[in-house]
Amino acid sequence: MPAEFFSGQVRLLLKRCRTMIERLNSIQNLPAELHPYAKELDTKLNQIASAIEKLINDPDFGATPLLVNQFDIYKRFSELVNTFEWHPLALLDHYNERDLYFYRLAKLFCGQIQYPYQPPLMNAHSNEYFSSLPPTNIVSVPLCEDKHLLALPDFVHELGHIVYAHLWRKFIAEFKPYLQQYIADQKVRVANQASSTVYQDKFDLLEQVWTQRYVVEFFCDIFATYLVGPAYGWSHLRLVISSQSELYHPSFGEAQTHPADEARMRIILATLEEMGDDTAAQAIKDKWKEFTSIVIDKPDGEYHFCYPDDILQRLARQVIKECRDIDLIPYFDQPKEEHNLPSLMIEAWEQFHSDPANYPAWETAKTDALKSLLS
Amino acid sequence: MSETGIISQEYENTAELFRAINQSVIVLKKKHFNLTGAAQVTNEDLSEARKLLTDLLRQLIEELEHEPSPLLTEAATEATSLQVPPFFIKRLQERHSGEMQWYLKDLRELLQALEEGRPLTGDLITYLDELCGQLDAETTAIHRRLWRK
Repeated sequence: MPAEFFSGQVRLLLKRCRTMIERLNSIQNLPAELHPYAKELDTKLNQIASAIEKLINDPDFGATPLLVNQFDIYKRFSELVNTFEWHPLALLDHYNERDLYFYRLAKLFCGQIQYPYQPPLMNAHSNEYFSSLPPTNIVSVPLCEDKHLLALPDFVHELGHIVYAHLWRKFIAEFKPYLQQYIADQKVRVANQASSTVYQDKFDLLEQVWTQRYVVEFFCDIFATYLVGPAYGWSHLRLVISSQSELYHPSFGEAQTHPADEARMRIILATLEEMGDDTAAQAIKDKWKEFTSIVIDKPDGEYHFCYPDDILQRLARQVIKECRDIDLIPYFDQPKEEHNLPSLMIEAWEQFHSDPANYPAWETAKTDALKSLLS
Repeated sequence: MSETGIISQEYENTAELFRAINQSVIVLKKKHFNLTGAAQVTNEDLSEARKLLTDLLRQLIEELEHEPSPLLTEAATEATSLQVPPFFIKRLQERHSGEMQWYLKDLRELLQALEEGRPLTGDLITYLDELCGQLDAETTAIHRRLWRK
């Protein structure tokens, strides 16, 4: 790539970064409680701009032997700039009352659980269900969730992604040896089979996908269960019923971002049992069994390799310990007060089970009360 | 739940490693090609760059050799500052599947030169560039999955 074209693109990226800083600083009427977030974004954008200037001012900028490395640096800067433009800047630029309502709800929840980090910014017009973007500290929720309660535990799962981003190095270092031991043991067991090489490769893939992906998703499931208990189990069942038919995929030799829903339900139940709530675990298990008895999908012959109980239970214990170590309050220690959100999420599911016909009206009264509290 | 949370975590981990490795490669290349900025590269910069690359290469060679890993102690694992994303290993396995022994030989040769503080040859610089290029490709691929689904 000609150095002139490349250096021109780098300078344009710097211009974009400066435009974003100007745009950020021209936003009017941002609620005062969000000023720290705007200031933090301003700091990050200025850091990126300084780093791009440093690249341009490097005496070897555009030198042929370094061009490929500098091009790759430019790509990383470009990715960062895009992420901040498309998410926190766009959110703050278009900030509305529903975003603020959810921010206050998230802040209240974070205070009630003793969340040790800055509460996330909330984007109340998600186009992909609940989601999070840990590097920007943003959680997105669907447009109409302000009128509902039963899916709120999925916000807690997304909060788990942000916590994991803080803890992942230590966490994975502690968990990985046990996973590696399991994989090594399984490899030995299948070593004499005819298709041994295929199995070895599949076990390698299993270790890779667990370490890089599944452990994150399981972490968030356990985190949410620790904080809102059975409400998260019911919420998972609700989500699976509404969106999923392949409960036992990915299986052996497959790699996706999320582990199988069956395994996710098992780890939620294991967490509840580990926390001593066998009654809630049994109630959810019974409903799950009813559901799985009518779905067509069944586990294939190698599914059992993928999510062994021992590994799931070890992971549940480790995440619970991690939550305790950072002084997060478990659901069963939350006060049963009207505006205590972990308790409200549990109560909402209890209400739904006990009186489904009248639940919508009950839910409306509760969300109206929350709106009054947080306005 | 959406895939954004998990993919953005993958991206962060891979991009962070890429930035560290790419910067180390730049330091070594400035010296190797005696570029204008080489005068500003200190011995400490060089030493840090070699150490980082040595740590990376040791981990890569161990993973690619497929030797059964002993149960690592918690302390030993935590002490490892570099966390190599498993799917980067997978990428290298796939890219070099037909010539893995040759590839491992190249990586060992590079590791030895870095450990001994020897000047890098043109071939060794090429190996470093290839490695860095694969890490960049992995980072870019994850970013594309994140935003161009």
